[in-house]
Amino acid sequence: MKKSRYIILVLSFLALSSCVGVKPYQKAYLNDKKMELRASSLEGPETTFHVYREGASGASSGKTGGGCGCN
Amino acid sequence: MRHLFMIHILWFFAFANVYAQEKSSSYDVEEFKEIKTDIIIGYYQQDGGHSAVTGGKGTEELSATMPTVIVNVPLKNGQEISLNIGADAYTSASSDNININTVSGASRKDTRVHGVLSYDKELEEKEWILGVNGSFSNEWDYFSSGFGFSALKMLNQQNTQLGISSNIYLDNWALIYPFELRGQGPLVHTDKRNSYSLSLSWAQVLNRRMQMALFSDLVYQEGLLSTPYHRVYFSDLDNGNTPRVEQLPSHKFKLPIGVRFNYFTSDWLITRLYYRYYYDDFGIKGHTASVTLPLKVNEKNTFSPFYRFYSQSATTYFAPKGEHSILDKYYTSDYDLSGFTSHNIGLEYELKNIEGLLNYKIIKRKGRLESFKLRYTYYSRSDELKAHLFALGLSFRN
Repeated sequence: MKKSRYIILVLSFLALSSCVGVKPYQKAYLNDKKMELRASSLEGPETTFHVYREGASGASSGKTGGGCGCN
Repeated sequence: MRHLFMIHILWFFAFANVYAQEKSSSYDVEEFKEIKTDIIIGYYQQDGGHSAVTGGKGTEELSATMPTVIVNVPLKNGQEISLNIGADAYTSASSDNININTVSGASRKDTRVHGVLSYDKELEEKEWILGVNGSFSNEWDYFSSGFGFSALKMLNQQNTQLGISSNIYLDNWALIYPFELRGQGPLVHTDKRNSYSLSLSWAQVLNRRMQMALFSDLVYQEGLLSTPYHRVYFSDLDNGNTPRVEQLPSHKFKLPIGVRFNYFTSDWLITRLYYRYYYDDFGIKGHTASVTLPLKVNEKNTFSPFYRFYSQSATTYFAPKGEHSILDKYYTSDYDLSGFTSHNIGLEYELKNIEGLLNYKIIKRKGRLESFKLRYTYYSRSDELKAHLFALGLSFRN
């Protein structure tokens, strides 16, 4: 089970590596602000209360832990 | 845990290897450099009945106003400085209960000020972005200083980004104990908390309308990981009437792994999906899943309804009020560390105009208000904690 988890993970990465390159002039949709691979700027206060009120944090290109008396 | 750690390392190096030989041919477009200023004001209000200050039962009423200003200043030769500074003013009924003999009825008020100063530099025609940062945070019982670095590598005509960053926070508690436990000498082993994090990210364009990113953090914390004014009551100590101060292990290892997937579904709809798995060695395992659906009514107006689901298992050291044994080495009745599920639902609205919603001039420099955002979130936790959050955002360009 654990071995298969590794294999699936590695294979999926390798499969994705064959993605067709998109030229800069073809990125009109991708460059839209709402397509950014990060949380909305207004989610900052929400993330702050999540790290206090919930045990989990991190892995969202934002706060990882530390720097506050939070969980 | 070891397997999760291995996955973390494996996925990063697997892709680093795949793209190691690729040569980017990024376009050398000289962008128009503008100073960006974002003002974000959040207002948060919560209520619940499981305050850790009073041992797991008692009001959790709290409100906070959280203004933040973020300024990004582009400099010559691909350099940028950014400053993020804020002050959270809050009123907390539970903090007032650190001294339960207080009869004023007035809730405790305090302010947390925080800031991050960062510097980034683009190298080799934007193939690399390197950065350093320093941060601080100060409130009535907690002071933190931190520093870190980041590196971002662009590959495959900027269709792939690999990132690595690390931060260290050196924090100090002011040891405020519950009123009735003061004068007994030190009740915790240290007043320091240090956190070390290593973050990896991989972002990939999948096609003209889709892109995704993987994030993972390795976080190690040491020192005082409990809160010195949290009470814990025991079934076998004075009939549950005498508390002790919360005790938790002095080391903690956290490992969150998240994936984000964005799809420009149609000309008026974008689908944003996010999932995170979280593990720590206090026994908490968490799942977070969210969906946001930005609906573009026209070029200027976007409505983004969203929903977020979260669940976590309880830490090994948690028990409700009066259910711990005096024989336990570690104990907490903090419901933030209990097992629960939570739901966030809300709506974000954005009014945007690249030409400017409002144009102005300050000391010969023209500026404009580029966007105006409003966001409302309703938060509901299965232990009956409820919260409302309002946020307002203004983006200026000079």
